[in-house]
Amino acid sequence: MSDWVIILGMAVVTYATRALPLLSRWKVSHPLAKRVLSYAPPAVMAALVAPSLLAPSGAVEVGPKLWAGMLGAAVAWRTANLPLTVTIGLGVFGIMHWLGLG
Amino acid sequence: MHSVDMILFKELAEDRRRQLQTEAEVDRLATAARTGAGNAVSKQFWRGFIATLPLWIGILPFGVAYAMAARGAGLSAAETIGMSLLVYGGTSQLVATELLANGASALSIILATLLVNARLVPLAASLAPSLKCLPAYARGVLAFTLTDPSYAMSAGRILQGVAGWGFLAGSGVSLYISWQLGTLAGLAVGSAIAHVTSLGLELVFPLTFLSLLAPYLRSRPGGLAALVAAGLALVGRLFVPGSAYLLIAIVGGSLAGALLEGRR
Repeated sequence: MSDWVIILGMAVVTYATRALPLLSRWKVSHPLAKRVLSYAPPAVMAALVAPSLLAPSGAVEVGPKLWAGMLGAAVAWRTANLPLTVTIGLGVFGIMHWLGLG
Repeated sequence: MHSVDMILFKELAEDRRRQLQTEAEVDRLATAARTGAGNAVSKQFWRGFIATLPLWIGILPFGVAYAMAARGAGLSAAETIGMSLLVYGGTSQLVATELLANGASALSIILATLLVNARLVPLAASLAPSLKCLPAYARGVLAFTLTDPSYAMSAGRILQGVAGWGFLAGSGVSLYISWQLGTLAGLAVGSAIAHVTSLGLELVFPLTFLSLLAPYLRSRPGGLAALVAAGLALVGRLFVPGSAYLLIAIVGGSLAGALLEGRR
């Protein structure tokens, strides 16, 4: 089958996941459901952060990424400052990498 | 009035008041989303666009990696950029190229894409009340740009009514452009910059999400939601093949936070 058919199929299902909740008239009215959705932001961010820092390739790795990530977490916790967190985290990783630690 | 009637009357009044409060709250958020909390939409758009620029550092190498993987799997240049333009889902695109290289059927690839991207459903659903005042075509266009990073950057602000849909649009467009640029760069330069993915630039994502996550950790339910989601994601990533672990982690974490809040 032509790859374009696959690509179009992928596009349709992906767009559906994004658009159906926004376009359908089905309203979330149950209070518990609303509360659950309100906690989606922290859950999403934590679910994305944890594996990428602790097990980026499918197995737990201890290395510069983890240390840079933990330092970044500490900076984020204290300051909640995005540019600062990113700069310090990348900087620490870069230094460790350059020093041959990982 | 009879005392029982008084109690019932008071309860009904309480329910009605709570219902009105909630409706008022939803209206307030929807109005804030529509009007951008008093700021012009174009201003919101650029604020969202610029706020998301740091994430380009992580997305560009990711796009390069995808393009190289796609070419390696036998996709033409047109198909590679076509997938980025039409599907616009980094992880699912990488999964798909891997499946293609292994000769998987079209149906299994499409199903895998659905599974990987199913995590977008709760994201969109949580933003739906704030966006309901937009006309359908606007929501449809906005939906196309929704990704985890644009959600992470915008949702907190939108749900608290301090930013409008313009911000979401700006961050969404910014990330869309960066993804296409990354894909094109990978197609153009190929293996010459293969080493760029070992620079650890993808750290920009978890670092960004951590700084956005920090305010939520001040509350117990928020902290629990994050903890449960992180734990489920980690366990899922380590032990469960495939990408369902993200959806499970998001739903589990959100449930945990909601249940704890309900108990207080």
